[in-house]
Amino acid sequence: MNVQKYIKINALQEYVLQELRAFDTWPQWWPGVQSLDVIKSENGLSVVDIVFKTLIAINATLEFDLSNENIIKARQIQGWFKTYNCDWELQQAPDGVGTIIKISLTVEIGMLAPKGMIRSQLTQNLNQLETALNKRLQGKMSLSDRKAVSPETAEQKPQPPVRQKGVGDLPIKRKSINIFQTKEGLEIWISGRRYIMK
Amino acid sequence: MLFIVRLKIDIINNITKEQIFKVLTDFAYYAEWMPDIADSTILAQEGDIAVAEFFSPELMEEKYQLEFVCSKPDSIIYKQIGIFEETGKPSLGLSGSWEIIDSTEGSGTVIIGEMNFKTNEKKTNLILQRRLDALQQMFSLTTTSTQECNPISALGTQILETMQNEEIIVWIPGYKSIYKKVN
Repeated sequence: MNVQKYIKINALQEYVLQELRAFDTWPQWWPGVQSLDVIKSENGLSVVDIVFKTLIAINATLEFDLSNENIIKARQIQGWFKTYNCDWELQQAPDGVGTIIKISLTVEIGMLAPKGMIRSQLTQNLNQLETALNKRLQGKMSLSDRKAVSPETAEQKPQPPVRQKGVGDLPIKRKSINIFQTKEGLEIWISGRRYIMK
Repeated sequence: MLFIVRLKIDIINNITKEQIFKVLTDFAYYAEWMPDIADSTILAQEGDIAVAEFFSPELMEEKYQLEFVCSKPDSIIYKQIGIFEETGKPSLGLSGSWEIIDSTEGSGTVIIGEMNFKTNEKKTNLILQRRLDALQQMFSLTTTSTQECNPISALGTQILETMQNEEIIVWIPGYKSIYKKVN
């Protein structure tokens, strides 16, 4: 089974990379990781013994390939999964604020393993990563950092439509209230929720 | 079980396919006009492919991510990502499309929306219908008014929360108003 998910971290790419590459600190801030021991680290490759915190303890020895500047590739050398491959690709957020991590995870598990539970636990693990990493890197995205986004990089990316600027030169995000006349009465949608006024 | 809903509307003003395509591909701003979308954020964009995250509380309890493939100016196809899929098995996530075609009856454009989702047909049908209704409202407007006003009180917690935003847009059949908060 495989999943592709994007998470947004409100910090500059360099800080995110720094934190992700410090494998031995993961158990301190990532709830999904029970323990981690770095076995070796040389020439852009790191090998770690990791225990994922799920309803059952999942042990694995993972090899991390750090040779590409903006991609972290992990694969299981031995462990609980039949196969485990995970790529983390870092890129600047399209709005220029923060970093996007594109996670591509492919796993195979044994026939007798509870697929539904593992699926749900791995999903929770990824959701926890987003919250935990944002908390860990709080403050690593000051106003001066935002303005330091290079103009060359900004020109290369497709620009969002020009919107009125608000505080700190960020576009104003608006909410909407939609009202429809229906047979039941006035149907009002606020913040995505539907109400009927009879 | 998948429920496939397919609906269409006619836009009879002189609105081009490109104008409609632009609105439908402005993913970060879906929350400004799609009734069921409370929050929308673009996560990645490369060429004709974009990924965005949405929160639609009537459709799903949690936020969800969609990958869009855009074929300007005729169609947009989307499917949900961020959920585990098994090779060879159909996805159970949300998917759908927008098609923008020239009307066969004189001038005008037809928008066809399709949504496929593992949920009850009534909710998917309602949400798609309201999205098309909102598009129809948007492209039928002749004027937009912008006013400054103090937040209205005593209309319920949801309205009060919404009014805390710097600006809100109110869509009522026939017109659109933008309200700016007075500080």
